[in-house]
Amino acid sequence: MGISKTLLYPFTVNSPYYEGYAWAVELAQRLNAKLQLFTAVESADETTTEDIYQSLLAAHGYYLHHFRHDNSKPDRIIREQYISTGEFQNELKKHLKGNPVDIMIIDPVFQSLHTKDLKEIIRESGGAIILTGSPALVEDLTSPAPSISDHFYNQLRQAEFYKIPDNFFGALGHDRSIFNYLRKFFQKNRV
Amino acid sequence: MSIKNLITATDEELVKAIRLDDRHALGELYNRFYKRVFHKCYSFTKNHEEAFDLAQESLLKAFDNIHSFKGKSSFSTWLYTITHRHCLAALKKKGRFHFHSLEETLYGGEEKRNETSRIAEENNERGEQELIMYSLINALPVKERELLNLKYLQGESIENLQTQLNISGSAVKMRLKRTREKLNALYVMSIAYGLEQVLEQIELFSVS
Repeated sequence: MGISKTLLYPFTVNSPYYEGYAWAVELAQRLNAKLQLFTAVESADETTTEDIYQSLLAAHGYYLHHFRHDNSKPDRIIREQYISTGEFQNELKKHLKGNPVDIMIIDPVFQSLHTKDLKEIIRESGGAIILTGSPALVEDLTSPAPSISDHFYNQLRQAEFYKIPDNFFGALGHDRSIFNYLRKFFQKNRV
Repeated sequence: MSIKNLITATDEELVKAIRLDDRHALGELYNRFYKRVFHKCYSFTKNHEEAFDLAQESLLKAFDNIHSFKGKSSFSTWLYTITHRHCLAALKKKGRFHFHSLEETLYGGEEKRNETSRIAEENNERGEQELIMYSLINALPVKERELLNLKYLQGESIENLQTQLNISGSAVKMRLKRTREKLNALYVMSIAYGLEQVLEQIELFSVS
């Protein structure tokens, strides 16, 4: 999967989204893909816009804290922010029509959308990964930091996939850390 | 670092912990500053999206290079210097800012200001410029530092300086001019290469 691939992560600052955001950034990093960040608000006044950008900065802090590899500088990922004004689902559909994406990452918070809306949104995208509401990385400061790769692949394993292009799995297959993850997973299942 | 220690730790203690790969310390330090960095960038751009981009880049630049923080200034000064420099470079690239001399900005010269320097003033960056300037003044040799303090902080007249230093009026003016020019050069170097590096160079020269 080349750099031309584009991922989309829709989010709303009214619901917790840092975990989904961090996972989406991590996926973009592993696929060397561009990441679009989309949200829609009732009115794009100064305060609302500022809140969204500050929230995105905080979300990125969460990513650096919990996901970033010690020996990598993944922040060269191209991220583009889109803030639309209007009703979320309609604006997202409009966005997808105007900005085709290869894979959309759907946060668990959007599982509450009407099935019809969700189907329509997925249809407009190249493919979709629906994340489950699996718990965020636990803030246990006394134990060693959990493996980022394990957490990433756990989320991937629990996610639902729709219309995902074959080369997605091929691209992730080049990720050497997946081998360690799979090894641990199989060892656990053997016990 | 425990949660309690994270909360009570100074910024510099957190930097030390980050150097030992403490990710929680990184999270804490980032959370302490990201809003302030955003506001600083906004004071330059007056545009939230641009401020966001610059803030993000500045924060990443700082955290990527945290190992180069030597602790000669506070972490906040170091971070704001990086932010300041990054914003100036970005605006300069877009043709929205031109460097103007320290004399013009700090000594209240009557020179005609062009539109870009007026915007820079409106951007309320004077406080930070002064912070950099005072760090540089403190790093100057004692004689030069005292001369600047007497003239610009205590407001001594040339005549008084002439008497105090026991030199002619033109010699006082010449010393002031040279010291100001030196400070200007150091200031521009700080913007270009970072305050820490310039302070380091000054220290090296003063030792040798």
